[in-house]
Amino acid sequence: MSEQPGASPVIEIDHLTKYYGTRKIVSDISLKIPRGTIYGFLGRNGMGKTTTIRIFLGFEDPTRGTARVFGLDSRSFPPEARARIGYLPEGHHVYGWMTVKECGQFQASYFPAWNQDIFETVLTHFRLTSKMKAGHLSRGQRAGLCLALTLAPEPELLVLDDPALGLDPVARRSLLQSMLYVTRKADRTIFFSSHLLSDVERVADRIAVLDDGVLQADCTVETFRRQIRHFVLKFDNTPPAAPNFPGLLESFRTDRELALTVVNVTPEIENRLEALAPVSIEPVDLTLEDAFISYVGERGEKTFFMNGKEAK
Amino acid sequence: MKAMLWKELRENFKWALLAMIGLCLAEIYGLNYYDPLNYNNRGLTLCNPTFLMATSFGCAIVGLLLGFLQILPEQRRDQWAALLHRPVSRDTIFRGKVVAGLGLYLVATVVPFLICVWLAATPGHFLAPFVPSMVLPGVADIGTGMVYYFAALLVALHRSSWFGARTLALFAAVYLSFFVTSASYFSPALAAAVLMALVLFTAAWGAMRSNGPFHVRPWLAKVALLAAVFYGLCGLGQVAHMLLKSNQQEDYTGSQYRITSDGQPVITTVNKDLTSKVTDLAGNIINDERYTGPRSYENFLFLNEVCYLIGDSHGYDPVSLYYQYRQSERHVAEVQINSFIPLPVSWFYLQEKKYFVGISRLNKQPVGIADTAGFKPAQAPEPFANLDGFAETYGTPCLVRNGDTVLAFDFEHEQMFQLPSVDEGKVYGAQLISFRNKDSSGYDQVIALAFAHELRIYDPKGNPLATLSYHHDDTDHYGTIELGVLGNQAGYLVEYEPSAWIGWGERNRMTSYLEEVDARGNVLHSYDLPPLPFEMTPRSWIDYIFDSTRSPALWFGNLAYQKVGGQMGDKNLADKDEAAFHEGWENTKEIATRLILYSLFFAVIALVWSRRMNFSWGRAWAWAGFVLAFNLAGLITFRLVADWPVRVRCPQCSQKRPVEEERCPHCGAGWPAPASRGTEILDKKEEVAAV
Repeated sequence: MSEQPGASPVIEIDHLTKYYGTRKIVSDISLKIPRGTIYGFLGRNGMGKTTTIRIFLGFEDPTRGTARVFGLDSRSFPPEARARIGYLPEGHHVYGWMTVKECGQFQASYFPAWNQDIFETVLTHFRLTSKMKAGHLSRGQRAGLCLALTLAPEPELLVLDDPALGLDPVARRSLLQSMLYVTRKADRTIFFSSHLLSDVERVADRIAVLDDGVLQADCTVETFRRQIRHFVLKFDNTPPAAPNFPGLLESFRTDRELALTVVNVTPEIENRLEALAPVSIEPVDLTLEDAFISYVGERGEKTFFMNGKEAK
Repeated sequence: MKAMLWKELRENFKWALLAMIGLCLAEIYGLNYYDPLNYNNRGLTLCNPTFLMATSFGCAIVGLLLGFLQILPEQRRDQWAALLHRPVSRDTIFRGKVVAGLGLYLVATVVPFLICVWLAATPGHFLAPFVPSMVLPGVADIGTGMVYYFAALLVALHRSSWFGARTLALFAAVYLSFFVTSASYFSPALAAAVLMALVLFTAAWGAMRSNGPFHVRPWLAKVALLAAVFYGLCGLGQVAHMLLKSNQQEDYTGSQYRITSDGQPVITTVNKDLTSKVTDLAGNIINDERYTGPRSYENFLFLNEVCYLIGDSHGYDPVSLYYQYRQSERHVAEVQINSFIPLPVSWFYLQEKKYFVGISRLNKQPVGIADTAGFKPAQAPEPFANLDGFAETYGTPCLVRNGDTVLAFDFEHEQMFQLPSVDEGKVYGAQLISFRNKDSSGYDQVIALAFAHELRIYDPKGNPLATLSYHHDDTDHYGTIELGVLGNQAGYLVEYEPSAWIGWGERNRMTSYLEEVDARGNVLHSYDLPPLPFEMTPRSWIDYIFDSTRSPALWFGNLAYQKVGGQMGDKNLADKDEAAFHEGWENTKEIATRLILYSLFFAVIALVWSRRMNFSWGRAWAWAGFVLAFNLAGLITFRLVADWPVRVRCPQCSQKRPVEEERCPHCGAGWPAPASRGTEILDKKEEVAAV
């Protein structure tokens, strides 16, 4: 049975693999981004987020696998399809010698659906005037200008590569507000990579997490947070070393406590924790940021003992 | 494209302006540079070697800079992505960049050049006349600079794992520069520049369209990239050859005929160790200090060339043999005065218009014309009628052929006279010959005219002195007639030998002779001078390598061209064909064998190599064929251009397999999915359905 046109994913990545030389950057990623979702693409630096974006936008060829946007193969991406995609690359590059107005005119000349009202609204939001030289703008203002240039063509799909990188909290908040205000239409899809989990938490419906080029998570924000659990086990004496079981992300031992972060907790895991005979087991709620850091951070046990006392 | 054009023009205009000012200053300096002590660095206005150095290097640098500045600053990868992410094709973006870049390049190079042309063409600025053809070297350099512009685009846009491969495009431009600066004619130089520009433009266009791989480029861009890399290697080879040869001592052994002061021909041989021996024509060694000592050159008689090209040219062009299009003598020749005190007026012969122009040294304004009617004030010139060649001598009197007669111009006294009209037909050459006078206190002069079968000698006022017969085969190659005057003007020495302007192989087929003739034309002595054995300098290993690794496709193609051209009636090509397949057959055979063996060897390497890299048989054979046609350069091109697969160890069989292939070519295994860590959170199916 064929799919409804509206139900077909906007971005479809199928077993995508990318090598630079003999180094594997992206490993067998499969991902579908449904229309109308706001998708956060997470991962530490150098994990393959930007490369994935560049591949599905047709700036790099995949080594294996395919990537499709609006059903079109990224290897032969037609130019007219780019009018439907707003792309804000990392770094907020602008032509420094242009004024803000010239930046808009230059961009508008390529996009037939250019909406000058949106452009000016975003500029106003970032307190930009048309005569300002782009090269003289602050980092936040430059990000605002880039966002205005990206949003004004009213794209169906918005791809933002770490849009808040290097911005102060105020500029970040402005950026998010603009993004959400202008893209409030239901059928508009946003795919953005970020390190700032508070931003992701605020706007994203779903997240995908890349670790070492491998897709580790593809779920709603809520599911992600729910699946990562943190337990504090209290002991009368020095706690034992954490047991090794699947799903254990990290453990932290102090003189009387053993803190464990676990993903995909099952009754069997809970039984194993109780088998350690702690005085108490306290589940602790994690913020998305904490959950993410545990999820992609270094695995294994960390200890912190007072007076140099080492656990036996 | 309009917006891209505007952006590129705005962005790079300042650089173009800066380049224009710099080039303008360099060219004006070059135009005015004159070093009286450096004979090799002389040339008039737009053909001044210093000016041409400014145009050739300047245009190349401007082209390179603009090309790089248009691409490299934007190539930080996200900025490049931002540029490309527009609803226009990459072709449109490339077109916008190229149109703007070429426009700026032309502004930066043509404006300074036009200023220099204006300076050179407006009387009062330089002590030299201006003829339009003097702009040709500068135009060729501007065309060559365009090639550097496209080379820079290709270097910047072409993605290659090894940066050196990218820079080969620059060497392709260098290779072209060698050709443009050494070509005899302007049109082949310009045609080569246009062709190379097209090659590099097409290769750069292909690089812009592709994300890197060779196989996805349009076929025309693939051919262009192969050509660019191949010619880049040729350029690199040429530079390497020059550098290697410059450090290598040439072993030279050579013999030549020389004439003793009493008119006897002898053979002098210079050996590798620079010692020389002198023998008579029978081979007996002459131990005469006068001819073997350190100042022996003073005791040999030097003959003057009366006619350097007589007989059948076999397709050689005397103008191109003498002067390149970059030399001012091709366009305007300055008359040399036999005096250390310069005349108030400098005289110049205009090669195309065929008359003299006199320019005042004082105000650099034209003050006189000398044509068939003699000397007259500067006014609308009346060109010589039927002048069939350029001025024969640039001393004074200056001899100019005019139909069957010769006009002699005495610039010191501003007088012109015509040497007696003769019925023998065409004059092949004229020369003013100086020789020691009777009491050795100075020099006397005679004028010698060469006709088809005789030389006529006149005194400097045009009175006949002697007629000397000589013989030559009209169908043979160009010969040279040389004349010497024996002491006391008692007799003359006439030497006929193959022209130095034709190739060695062909020269070696012609016999020379020397005759001593008295003033009445009677031959007193006659000597046959057979071609001396030509002792080839032993070929060095550098030459051997470069000879053996030439492209068989181009080498055999050239042989075929000579064969077909010769059969279609081109004597020059027929001579070359004959030299290759008859007297030079052994050499031809040896080179052909070497080329075939070497290219076969490299082709086998390419075949084995490409199969080891898991190329399909079709691709492997195609590359082997390419290498067979282009020898070592083809093999290197293959290595640099082909999509070289990245290979990693197969997890199944541990053999190396290409990362792009889904299945291992050795064991057929697919790629395993990334190992599960047990920490995955994938609720994709349910959630997507829910959305």
